[in-house]
Amino acid sequence: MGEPTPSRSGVVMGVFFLVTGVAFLLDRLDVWNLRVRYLLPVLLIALGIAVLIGGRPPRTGERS
Amino acid sequence: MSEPEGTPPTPPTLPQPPLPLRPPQVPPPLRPPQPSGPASTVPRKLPTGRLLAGALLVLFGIGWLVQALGVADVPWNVVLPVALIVLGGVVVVNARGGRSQGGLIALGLVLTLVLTVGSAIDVPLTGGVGDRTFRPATPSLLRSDYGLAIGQLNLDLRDLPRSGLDASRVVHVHLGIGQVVVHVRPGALVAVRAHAEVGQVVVFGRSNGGFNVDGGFQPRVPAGTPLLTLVVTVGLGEVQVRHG
Repeated sequence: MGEPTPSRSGVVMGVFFLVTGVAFLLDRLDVWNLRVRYLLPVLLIALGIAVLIGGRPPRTGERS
Repeated sequence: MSEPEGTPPTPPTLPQPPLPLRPPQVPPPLRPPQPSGPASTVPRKLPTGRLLAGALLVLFGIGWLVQALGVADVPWNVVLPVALIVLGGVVVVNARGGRSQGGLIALGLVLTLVLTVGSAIDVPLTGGVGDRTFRPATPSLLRSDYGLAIGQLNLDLRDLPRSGLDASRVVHVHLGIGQVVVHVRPGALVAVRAHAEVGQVVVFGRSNGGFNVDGGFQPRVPAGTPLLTLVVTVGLGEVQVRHG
């Protein structure tokens, strides 16, 4: 039995949630003002990038 | 005594060898059932996704209970982003182990959606959950701020004397999700500024509804007259300011 292969899409989604959570936390703490008119398109772009990166053909030792 | 004729002679009996003592049969020790197939060689992994989901539910429940008991004011505005950060970290760690985690990703997307909607309609989720009624009887008991996160907030100002204010006062009433009802004594000198991100605003019978709704009332009084100004906001729900 070999080493488990990392899931690239999982990593991308996890990083996406991390970054989004930090952005919302900063907004709630009034450190940074999150504007919804910018937020929604940025979230859509980030989600699309996550899907694109997660959907690339896997390299050796990687799982998509 | 002689044996009768015709009867075959009985052969002398030989001593029988004793039967060998066999050891008592001991049943083989029970072994746990071994799963067949290739899965039997895979060590069991900790279900971190399920553990995280359970832990989040327990923590949310504890927070809700603490809030309901009035022990502390849980900052829900901060709790949800922190939950999303923790979830993202677990997803990354799990992904390095190659685990399938569709449930966690779905939960993360739901949290992201809730936070996005919360930011879009600016729901102030502070002040508790449930039904609250405030009935200040004197101007000194009138607070400058009343708030509730989710539920119904009633502010009854009918016990206040009509001319009891010795100076103008501003009272802020804010609710995240639900209904705010403010009762004002007829004839009281009250100005109202009401706002709903999504929902309905009804001020002394005049109603507005939809997104980003405003409503208000300004009495005509001589300059310098002490005036009570109510600033009532709701994120998602209804504002009602009425006489009686």
